Amino acid sequence: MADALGDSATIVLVDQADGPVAAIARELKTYGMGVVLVPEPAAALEFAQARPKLALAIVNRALETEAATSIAAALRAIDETLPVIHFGPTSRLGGSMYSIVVPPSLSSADLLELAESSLRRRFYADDLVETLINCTAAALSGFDNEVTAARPSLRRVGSDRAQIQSAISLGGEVTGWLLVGGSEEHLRRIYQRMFPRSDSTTRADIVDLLGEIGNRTLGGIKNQLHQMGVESTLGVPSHADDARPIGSVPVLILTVEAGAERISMEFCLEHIEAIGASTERAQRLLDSGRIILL
Amino acid sequence: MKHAQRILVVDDSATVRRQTREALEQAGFEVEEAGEGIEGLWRARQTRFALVMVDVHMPKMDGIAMIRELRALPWYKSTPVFVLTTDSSLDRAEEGKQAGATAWMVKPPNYDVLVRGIRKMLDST
Repeated sequence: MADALGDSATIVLVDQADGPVAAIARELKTYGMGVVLVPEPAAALEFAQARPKLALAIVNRALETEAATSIAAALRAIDETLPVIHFGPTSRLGGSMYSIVVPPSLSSADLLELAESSLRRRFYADDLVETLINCTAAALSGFDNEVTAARPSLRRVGSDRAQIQSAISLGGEVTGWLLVGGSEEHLRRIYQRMFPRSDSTTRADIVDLLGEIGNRTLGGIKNQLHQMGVESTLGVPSHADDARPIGSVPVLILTVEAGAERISMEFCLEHIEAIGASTERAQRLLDSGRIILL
Repeated sequence: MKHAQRILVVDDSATVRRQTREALEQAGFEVEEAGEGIEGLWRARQTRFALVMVDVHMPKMDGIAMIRELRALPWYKSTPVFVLTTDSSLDRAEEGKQAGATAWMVKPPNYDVLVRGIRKMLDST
């Protein structure tokens, strides 16, 4: 999986094999990331110099000596955007700069959660996730007024696939895809809320609904990208029950709660460096739900 | 007795066609459906519609292409053509206008606004 995702999806852990940071290595791999454990700061630096675009570094400060250069600062000199979690006694901070400092009392579960959120932000900036959530809410509002929440997380290897799925692709200056899915039972209930006079709901009805949700959600993302001066094109939604695509970056999952039902969205967006490079081409957008006379 | 005005709804999503049909029928219109542009043109040739609603992003023939072809038909030179789409870019709306679209609404539609707008459009034709 690490080879499939590429160097930018590699995490480096600086710790002894039995240390507290190394303890979360196995869990980190379930996000589809490559995880490299190095026992000392110098080795981590060598690794980072060879593979300069890492996803995350977590450093056990107990390994650093007073005389050693801060590993976090050295890593960030190679890549100033690299998030670094520093685990260990704060008394040794000195004048060093770290992304996140956590005390040695932090549990493995909490450290893993912090690592996941750092990774999520590395690949999907907070404003992009917020845009995705807003586009999802707007898309669903036209179908179900019971949508209440959407929680983002990174997809884990081996996690359950939705029972029914529809896929839609995004191409152009950025590439990506969106899978929208859920259990047949949940989706039937949502569809029946939309069309209470309907005698029966077929699987084709549900797949079509998922396709249109995906179309509107990814359409919203496309519109936001257009507003930022990035051009993209939408594919046509397709039934994709067996699909589990991967990209060169981890997959973001958005779990949407609609009343007592759930819809899952898996989202992958690549080449996002195009987003930052195009701000001069910013465009205006039309509001939804209003009639514009041409 | 006044006959209900007939509207053609062209969208590749059966869900959207169904939602739109229900909203329009509740407002007293008669509705026919088509799943994409080629079928939409075929239906437009068979029946004279008072208004045509078109999605943009469809397989085989997209909405913009369909509108251009529709405007070439003798009955449809001045028929209101309403675009209902996910595309909110001004450039795309201008492209729709050049093809012959009368109005543009970005999904999700507000069906109350849509019905009022359609009534107003048809009353003025």
